[in-house]
Amino acid sequence: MLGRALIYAAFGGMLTATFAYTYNFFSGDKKFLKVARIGFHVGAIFVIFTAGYLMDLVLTHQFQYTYIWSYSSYEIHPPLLISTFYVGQQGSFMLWTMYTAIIGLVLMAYSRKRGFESSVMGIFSSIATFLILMAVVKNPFEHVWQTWPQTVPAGFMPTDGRGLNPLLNNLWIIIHPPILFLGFASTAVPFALAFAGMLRKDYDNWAKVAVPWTLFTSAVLGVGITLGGFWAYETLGWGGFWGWDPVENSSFIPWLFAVASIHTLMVQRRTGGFKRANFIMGMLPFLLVLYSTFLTRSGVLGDTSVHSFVKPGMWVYVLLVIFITFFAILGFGLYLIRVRQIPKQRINYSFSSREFALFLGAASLVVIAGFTLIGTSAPLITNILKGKPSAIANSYYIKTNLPLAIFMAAMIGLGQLLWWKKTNSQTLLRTLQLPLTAATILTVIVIFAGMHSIWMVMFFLASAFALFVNLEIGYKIAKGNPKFLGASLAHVGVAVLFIGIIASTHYDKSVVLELKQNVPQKAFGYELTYVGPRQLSGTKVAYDVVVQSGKSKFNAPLIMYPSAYNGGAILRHPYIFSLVNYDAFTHPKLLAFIASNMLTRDLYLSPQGMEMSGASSLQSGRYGITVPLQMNTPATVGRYTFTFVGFQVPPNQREAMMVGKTFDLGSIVKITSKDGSSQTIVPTNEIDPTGETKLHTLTTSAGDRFTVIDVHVDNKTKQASIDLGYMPAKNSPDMALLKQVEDGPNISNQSLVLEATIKPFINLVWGGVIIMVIGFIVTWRRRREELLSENS
Amino acid sequence: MKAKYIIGGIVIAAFVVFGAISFMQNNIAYVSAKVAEQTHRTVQVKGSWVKTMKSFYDPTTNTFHFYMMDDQHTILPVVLAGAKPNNFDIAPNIVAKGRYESGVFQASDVLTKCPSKYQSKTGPEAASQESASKSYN
Repeated sequence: MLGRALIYAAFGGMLTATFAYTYNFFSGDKKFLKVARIGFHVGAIFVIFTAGYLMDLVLTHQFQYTYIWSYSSYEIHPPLLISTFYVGQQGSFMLWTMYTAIIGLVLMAYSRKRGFESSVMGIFSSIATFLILMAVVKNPFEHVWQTWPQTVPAGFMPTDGRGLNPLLNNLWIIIHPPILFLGFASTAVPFALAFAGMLRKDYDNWAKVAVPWTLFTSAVLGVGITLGGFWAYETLGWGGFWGWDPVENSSFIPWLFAVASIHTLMVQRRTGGFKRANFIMGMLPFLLVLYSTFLTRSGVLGDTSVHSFVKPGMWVYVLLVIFITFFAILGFGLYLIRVRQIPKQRINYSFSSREFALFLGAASLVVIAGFTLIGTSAPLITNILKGKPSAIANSYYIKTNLPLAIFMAAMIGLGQLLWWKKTNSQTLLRTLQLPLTAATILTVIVIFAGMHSIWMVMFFLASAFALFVNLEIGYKIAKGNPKFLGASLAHVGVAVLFIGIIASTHYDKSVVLELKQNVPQKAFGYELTYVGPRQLSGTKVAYDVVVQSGKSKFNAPLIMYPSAYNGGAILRHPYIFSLVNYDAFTHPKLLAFIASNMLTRDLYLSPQGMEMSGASSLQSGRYGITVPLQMNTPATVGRYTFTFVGFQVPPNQREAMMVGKTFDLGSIVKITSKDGSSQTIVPTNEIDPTGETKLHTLTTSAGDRFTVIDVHVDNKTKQASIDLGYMPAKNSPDMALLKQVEDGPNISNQSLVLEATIKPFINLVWGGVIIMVIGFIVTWRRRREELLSENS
Repeated sequence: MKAKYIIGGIVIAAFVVFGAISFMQNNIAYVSAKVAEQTHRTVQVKGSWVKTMKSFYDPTTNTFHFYMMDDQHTILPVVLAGAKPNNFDIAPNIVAKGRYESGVFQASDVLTKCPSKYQSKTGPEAASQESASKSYN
């Protein structure tokens, strides 16, 4: 078993590194430093080998392995095939472990130069060791016959894999998880740096080193989360980019803490304050990544989450608990030992100081993270308090976080105006004038445009204020030294993001349309025409809807198809006129169409189903067209109107009925033809009380044949109804109708039901995030350069 | 200095109270279908879709009508605001969120498991090999 051997070798290497580094730190024995380095290199190389081996199995379709069989098939080709590597639990842990190993190699070189290698790498190696332990417990190289010993014979080679769920079959699965897991893995660095700082009793230097790493984590995790939002919005058809689902929250919470810690680390750099708090802030993102991993992967959330993993087995649960407990006790334990020795620095907390603004900014981020954490943990909390897990409604997150977001937006504006230490209140007022006026004017405009909710108006005002302040300051900085632009950019990004959130989530509108083929309908100023179905590969059918705006038009293929993977269920894919729609790569015209018509709002078309109309709702069988008839309710089918009047038992059959013998039951039906002539027929059925029923077909003089196929009496209303089979005579004009019904629902008779939604200014959401991340990267580069030049 | 601690304390206390109240108000309890029928609160009912009973999508109201059965085998008629969820047919369990009103459970949301999280119970079938070789002949 090559896979297992590789895992054990990696585990051995990392474990050696953990102990050797730790021993070296406490004893100073140089020999052990060498052993530790070799151990970590061996561990890292074997982790990469293990991942490479798994990737090889993925690429060569080795379906005898459970993991490969579960997520792949011959139908899947690169680059999508590559993504089946990390679609499942084991593979995603493998990816995380691999990132940790690679980051570890960088961190080793980095800390070696600065002379604190053993303290940082000791704890970092132990993190890597734990991650590899996951692969030991949940082996990605398990064979199918080991997983299902009862049903699969040993040595069995499946002819094909189960395949990837078609819902995952898109661009985002290729890029979202690798970036998100890089973000997860990178949180281990600030944790290790903080821990090592406490270990060495270095209470300031570690913070300098941690700043660029934390900025890196924030940028990567931010991109990862946003890509998840794109995916949810663009492909899964959840209707929005954020749903407060535990899986989404679980990457959001560590990110909030990472961003908050950037702020508190800045205060420490400038003034020496927050020395104690920063150790906690530095360690929390990683601990929260572990906690969220536990929440979403141990099965504790159960049915309260849309996509929590199924129960992965007891061992994973136990290991995750040990994992969190171990590092939490280690980190907080050391903190408690050291806390009294950490010097306290009095910082200027006057209300007009920038430290205070930074503190408030960080505090609001932490409180948002806290509320979100509590909401996400609701199933655990309620389980402990009430003994029964229950979830929390999304309104909780909005209610608690909205006031904080408003406050935060105001702080983003105000904080930038306050320079370090005290700011003169007169200069403050002067610089405040321009952005405050601009924000007020813009807010008045949007109020007239229809924004009436007081909360939204406040949120908008605060965000617009933050935007203009940071634009003003950013402009000044850009004229000086653009390298220092990072913070302004990041804050501009947040303000733009907030405005995008307000517009797209509170002012979206939707309408359900039933589109008949080639009959245009107007919605939100666009003309939508369903032009018909188009067969794509396999079972996939595209229902083409032409969207016209002015003179330009574009065809939106709304795809619906029965998916064999999903047990024949109909899967529906929305089509979005959005800048994040990656169809733009293959359809250059799409981008031009969106740019000229939908730049300020996305049009989201979500297919709901096909509806039959008119004659096609009838059914047919061996007795002709089935005509359902309620008592005394006329129904018109073809050239006749039928009325079912009641039942009749012929006099000579009544005795048989009374004593429970077989008897004839007649159903009286009045038939009126289009020319006004009418007749009454009484087709009979032979009823055997034991359950057998013999149908008798009645032929009229015109040659039409009638059969009562079914008789029912409603239990409650005692209302009787029958299903009458109508087989038209050979020369009857109704033969055409019969043929039409027999041919089944004619697709041209069907109409497409879709939900059209407009999301105003959603591009500001994406744009804001991109600006913010660029801000992180600019600052990250500057801080990195600073640090490198300081030490050389 | 003391005043600042007091203000800080009050702010923290206010947040705790605010958070706790929001938490209680927005907590959606899991209840059985029977309990759901008797309360006007928004609740969640866990169960499975009764496939043998009538289910249909009504395009005029954009609602999906179906019946679900909870763990105590009570059958509950459900009207979901929106179309049939994508994973509905394969979900072994569903959770309906909403409230009981005029004879039906008006669900705002029906949760099914995310598509990536299904696992096979039996593994690959030996039979699939036969059928595959047949199709090559």
